[in-house]
Amino acid sequence: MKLITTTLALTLTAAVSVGAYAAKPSAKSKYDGVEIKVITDRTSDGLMQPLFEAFERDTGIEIDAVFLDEGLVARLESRPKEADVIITKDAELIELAKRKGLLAKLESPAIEKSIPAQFRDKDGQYFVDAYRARGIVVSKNRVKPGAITSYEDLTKPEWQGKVCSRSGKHDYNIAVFDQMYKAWGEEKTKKVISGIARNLARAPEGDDREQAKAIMEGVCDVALLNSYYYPKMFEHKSQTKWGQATRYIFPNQSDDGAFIMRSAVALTTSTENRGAARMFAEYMASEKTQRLIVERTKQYSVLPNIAPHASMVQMGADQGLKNGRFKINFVSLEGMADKRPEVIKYVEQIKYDSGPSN
Amino acid sequence: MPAPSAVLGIARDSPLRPGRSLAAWACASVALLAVFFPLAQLAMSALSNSAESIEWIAIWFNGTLAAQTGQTVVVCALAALVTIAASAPQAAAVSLYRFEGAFLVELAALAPMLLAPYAAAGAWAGLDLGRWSHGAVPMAVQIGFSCAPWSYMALRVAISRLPPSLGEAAAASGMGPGTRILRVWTPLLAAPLVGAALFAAARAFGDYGTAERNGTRTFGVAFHDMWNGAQSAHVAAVVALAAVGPALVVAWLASTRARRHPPRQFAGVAGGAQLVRTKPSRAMLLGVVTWSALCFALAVAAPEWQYVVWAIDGRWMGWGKSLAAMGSALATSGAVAIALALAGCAFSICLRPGTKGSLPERLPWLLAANLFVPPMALALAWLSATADGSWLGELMGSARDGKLPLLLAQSAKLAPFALLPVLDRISRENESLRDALRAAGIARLEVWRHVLVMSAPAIALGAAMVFMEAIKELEIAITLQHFGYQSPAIKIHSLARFHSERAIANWVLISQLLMLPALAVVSVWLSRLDKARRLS
Repeated sequence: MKLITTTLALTLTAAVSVGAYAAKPSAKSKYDGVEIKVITDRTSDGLMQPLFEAFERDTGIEIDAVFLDEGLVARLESRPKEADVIITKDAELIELAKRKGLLAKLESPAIEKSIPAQFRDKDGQYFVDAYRARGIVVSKNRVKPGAITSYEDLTKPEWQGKVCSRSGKHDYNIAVFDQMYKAWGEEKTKKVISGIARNLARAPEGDDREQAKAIMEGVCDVALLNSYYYPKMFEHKSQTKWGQATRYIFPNQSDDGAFIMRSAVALTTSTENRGAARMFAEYMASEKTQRLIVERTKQYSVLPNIAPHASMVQMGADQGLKNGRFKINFVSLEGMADKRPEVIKYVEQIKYDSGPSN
Repeated sequence: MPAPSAVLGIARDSPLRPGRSLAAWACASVALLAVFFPLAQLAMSALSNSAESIEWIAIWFNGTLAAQTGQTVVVCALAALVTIAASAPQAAAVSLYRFEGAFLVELAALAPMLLAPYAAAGAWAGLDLGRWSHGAVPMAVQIGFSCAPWSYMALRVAISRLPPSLGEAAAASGMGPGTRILRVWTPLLAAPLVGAALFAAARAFGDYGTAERNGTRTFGVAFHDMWNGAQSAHVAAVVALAAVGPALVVAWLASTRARRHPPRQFAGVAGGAQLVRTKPSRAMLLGVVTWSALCFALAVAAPEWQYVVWAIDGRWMGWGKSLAAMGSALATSGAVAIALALAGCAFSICLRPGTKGSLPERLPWLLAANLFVPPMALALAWLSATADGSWLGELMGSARDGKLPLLLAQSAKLAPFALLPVLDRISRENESLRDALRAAGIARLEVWRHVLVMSAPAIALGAAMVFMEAIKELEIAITLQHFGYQSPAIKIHSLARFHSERAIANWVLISQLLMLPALAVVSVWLSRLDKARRLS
């Protein structure tokens, strides 16, 4: 009897122990509890914080981030292994970081499979997670439909004193000028940049949305604007009137297409948490995250099966574009980065930022 | 105990002890390090690729430099004018006259300390008044107003050291109010007036956050654009160094002026005289109160009203998010203030008082040069100084990846706020007092305690000012922030990218809440001035 009781007790104890063990939540990934560090020039508000929280929930990997609005590449040069992952709003910077030997290979079959080749670095060191058009915004009242359809149109004499621009040395303008340089060659690009400078209504100032505001105020009639800012203006009470006063144009659609701005993801040379870092990069390339990116940032997903944000579907309809899709004049990031020094020197040489008096 | 006169006689004859000289040089060396270490880093960076640097200098000289210089000069000059205009009348009225509401005038003059100029710029931009709220002139006004409290304090201090009867004597000799201002007060107050103007100009010169929000292409923005565009530390260093030469000359000249004529407390205090301030005429009172109210309305009330409206209209982000950022900002700003307060204590003890001081006492004034170097350039210098493989980075060990680089860089930048009041205090101390106390047999520790008690108000004032400046500090924090770091200033800057004024409003109000106790310290310190003068 004693033996039976003891055996029963032991069995019960074992069963309870096994049950308790089984009831413990299983690890979400093999890196559960690992902490990775992400360095980014994007802001925490908007996309990044919800994205990090979703990743932590799904994988158990924790993220410690630093949001460096300025000096991302300088920081990486100074502390190459400080972070595990880099995310940048301007992919050209990540190409520059690659040239300085600050990136590691992604070595991820999942990324290679899901991300189209044109959005992956040829050496496998980074990939583009999303993009937006660097398009044109014009006054609804003062610019007739069809009067401006291309970047080149901004240089026409009829727009003298009617073009607004942010600094010629800002990343967004450098990126579009770099792409022009690579796609069109030196002569035509210089003609376009100097033509825009000649037509400026005022010295370059403010950000993209402030150019739309200037159009509303009658300071100018036309400006360059990234595509996602257009629907975003309608989300803010104070900016709705900026959007309502303007019309968005995807340039060069009957020609070679619009240039784009890209955001990108890469791994640093730090090897400490490489596995978990790679998992995060793969998470950025996943369909779930791509949908979140489209939802939160109104950029275009690099996955062809993900449609543009609902608020962007009608953009470009008056140009005959369908479903918010536009024709891209695709220039590789390597090709762009090659031209960056020449472009900045030219922008400085023609005193682009000094405004129309020059 | 020997008679005091005998003790002072012994003290005057005693030679300088080598220990004190060494300690003074140690303090001077720390101050010099805070100025020249980042500059040396920038110089090394610029020289490490001299061909590229020379090419960029040539491009810059032939490019936008002239336009940037023109705009910078205009903004600096206007900011200096606004600073003086928004502070001098109030400082003169409160210092020289007795009237109901003087305390309110003083609070109104100090209140702009609570609003960073880049935050004011955001509010003005939101008011949508076109060129009245956005551009070079509004930027100059915003910077000018933000510097006015410091000008007010400097003028209050300077006026408190002049006999109030001076104006009456001038009036009795037949001088009208205008002549008195031109021929009596202005020459006597030239040093604080020039200092305040230079301070405002320095702020306008290196500022990035306010200029960017105003779309003004001043030097701070030019530096940022060259750095960002070229993505080259060499290029950024070259541009930053262009600002350094003039800054050092100005700081050195300022130290000459400050030390050649160390202002003394006027004789009335020594005699224990009870001095009486007169009541201002009705017209003068009306003028001062109206002017004070106008400045307050433009500098504080209008932008503050805008932020409160936005905050009410917007959504509260929740305590979890805000408390983390508040804690982070408090810890960083508090640490910078404490570190510089300790430096102030060391300076008080080690530097020679009065006019006896020589080079070691003069060199720390060069700290003022850090006000002229664009803060982003300072950040870049500290970033490269603590890079992987650098001796300083190695020395810091794992602390390099925490708050330490940020604390060092902010301390170097904000050191003038903490240490210049202390240097001023030391220069006014009786130069024989410490030797006299020692000669009278008082223990060294007791002498130090006595010195620290005398310097405590200046040290506390410096710490309070540093704390407020560190809360508002933006450019260095952007570049040197560590992982997990948050601060209201960074939040305000990053949300400005989205024009999310309602969210920004939360952070502006939080930063003001953090600064309120420090503002109270400044206010109490100023109220002590009149007690020290025994004015009624």
